[in-house]
Amino acid sequence: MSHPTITAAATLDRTTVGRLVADIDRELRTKPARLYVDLGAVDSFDSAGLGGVVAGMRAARAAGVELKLRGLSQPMLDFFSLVSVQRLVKPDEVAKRPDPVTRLGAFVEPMVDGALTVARTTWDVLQELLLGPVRRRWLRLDRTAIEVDHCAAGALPIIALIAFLLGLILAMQAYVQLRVWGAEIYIADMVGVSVMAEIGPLMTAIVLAARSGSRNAAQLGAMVVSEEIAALEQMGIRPLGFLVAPKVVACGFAALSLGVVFDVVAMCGGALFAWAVAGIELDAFAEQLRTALHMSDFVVALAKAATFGAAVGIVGCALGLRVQDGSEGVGRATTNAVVLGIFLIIVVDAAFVTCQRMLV
Amino acid sequence: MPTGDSHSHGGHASSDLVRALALTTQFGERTILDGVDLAIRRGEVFVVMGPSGCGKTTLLRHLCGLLPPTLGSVSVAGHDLYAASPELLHDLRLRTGLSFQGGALLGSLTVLENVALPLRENTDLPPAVVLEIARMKLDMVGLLHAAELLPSSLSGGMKKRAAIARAIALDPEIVYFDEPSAGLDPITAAEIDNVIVKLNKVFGITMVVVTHDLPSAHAIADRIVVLLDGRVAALGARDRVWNDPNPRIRDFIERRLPAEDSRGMDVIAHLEV
Repeated sequence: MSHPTITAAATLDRTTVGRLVADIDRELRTKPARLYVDLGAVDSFDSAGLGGVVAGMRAARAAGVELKLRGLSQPMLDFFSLVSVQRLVKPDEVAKRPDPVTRLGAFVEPMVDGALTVARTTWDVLQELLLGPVRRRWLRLDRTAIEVDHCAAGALPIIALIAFLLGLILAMQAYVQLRVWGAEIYIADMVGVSVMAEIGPLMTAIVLAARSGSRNAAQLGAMVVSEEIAALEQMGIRPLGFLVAPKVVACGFAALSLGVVFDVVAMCGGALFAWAVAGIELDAFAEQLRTALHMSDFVVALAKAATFGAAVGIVGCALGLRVQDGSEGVGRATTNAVVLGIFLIIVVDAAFVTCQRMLV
Repeated sequence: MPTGDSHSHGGHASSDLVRALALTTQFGERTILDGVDLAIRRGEVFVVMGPSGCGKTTLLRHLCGLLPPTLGSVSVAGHDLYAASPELLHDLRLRTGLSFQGGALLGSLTVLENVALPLRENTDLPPAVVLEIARMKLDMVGLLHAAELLPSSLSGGMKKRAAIARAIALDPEIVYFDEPSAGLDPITAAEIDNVIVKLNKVFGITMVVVTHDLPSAHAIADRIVVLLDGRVAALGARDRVWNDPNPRIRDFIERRLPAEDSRGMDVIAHLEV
């Protein structure tokens, strides 16, 4: 007979199937009209082995070669009766690569969608907090207290530690520069102004995004997945009032109070460095701080911190409630809550600084 | 319309608590429900049956107000659920209980707090009374001993019983059950069935049970609807549906495999002749 024949070894399982597939591939390259695979010698097989045979059939079909099997035992026929070989070897439909506009759309759409969700949630929360009392719906203080305990009290040690170290570092950086002109006393100005204007609110909000923005997104996302949100709605309990508003208020409050702690501790750190290394008395440092800082700056810093915190809270809740596809979705929402949260902090910061400078 | 059965109350609309008209659901290209009409009567145990993927859970979500249908309407006690004002919708929801397939208990609250939650949030009852009612409901489903546990430490059957206790916390007129016996052993499933029937008899609560569990459906149902491919294939009194001559209903009731699909011996085409 002129058609080539491949004979499978006595054992056709996951250890030997590679050889059979390689043999079939090699024969197919010679483009025979028909190829026989003889399984008559096989006395033991597993699904990997027969999977290799089916893979060979598919390759043959793609190459336009007719592949015929020989010597199938009854157990093999029984095995093949569980599947449809025709369906398995049908060529894959090649997914057409979408055109550039579609691809751009697929890339941009989730972002636009996320931004719209955040905007809508902001609107809903504002309505809830401002118009709620008119409709006799007050902020749930009991729920808010639970959240504050996590967001603010729980973050206190790490905030204090970061603030103290950053105070030291800023003082050190300032000292190196100012020493040249013998102007060490201005360490107080450098530390005080930079901490209160930017570093305090920013660092606090970033820690908050990492600790609480992620927590909110993961918690609400998991609640969506386990249908707890649907259950709440069904029981006539609005997730907005029961979960979202308390979380957002708690985040705003946490950023505000932690921001104050951060400012104070960082300035203490700066003062400690100035006293220990630059030999500036603590009284002198404090006096210098008093001239450098103004009450209005402090109020703006507080407003900034609270806005940052609320933004972090809103982003976490909005993305968490939007989770759709199971645990994968929860993970994605958590990541995005932190990334988008930090991004939004910077955007809000830019807006604040612009407004402040235009007004002054 | 497939509402016609031997005990049809034709014209006595007042005995219908829930009416679904031409419910159609589309998720993208896929059609889940395709023109479902049905009416649920006050005080009955109404069972929704059908194979996996036939649209049972989707129908349930439409009926209890969680998912607006693409087309069609649902009315509860004469009010159109998806055209209702927020206040009316809130009111209708409080008259409705829902026991989710996985329980959907709030993970941060104990079983007792979970059952107390709808009472605490929606009534002005003193906290002590709320807890007493919640304990009573837990006892009705035989779960008082687990009152102080967190949901994460409950077994599947206990979660479902806790979910039922929460669903009946506000003394609703109608309670929906999503697969109450799925994933349970036969004894626990029978206990759940027993709770459903008991609550129906004692309080006259209308029960709507979505299930693919045939013995359980037969044990509790007054009337049954069978959904196949998103359509009503049979609707009527339990025994009528159970003896329906439609071959596809027979296949389902008698647990026969549907006619062979294209799997089989088509490897023969590849054999040497």
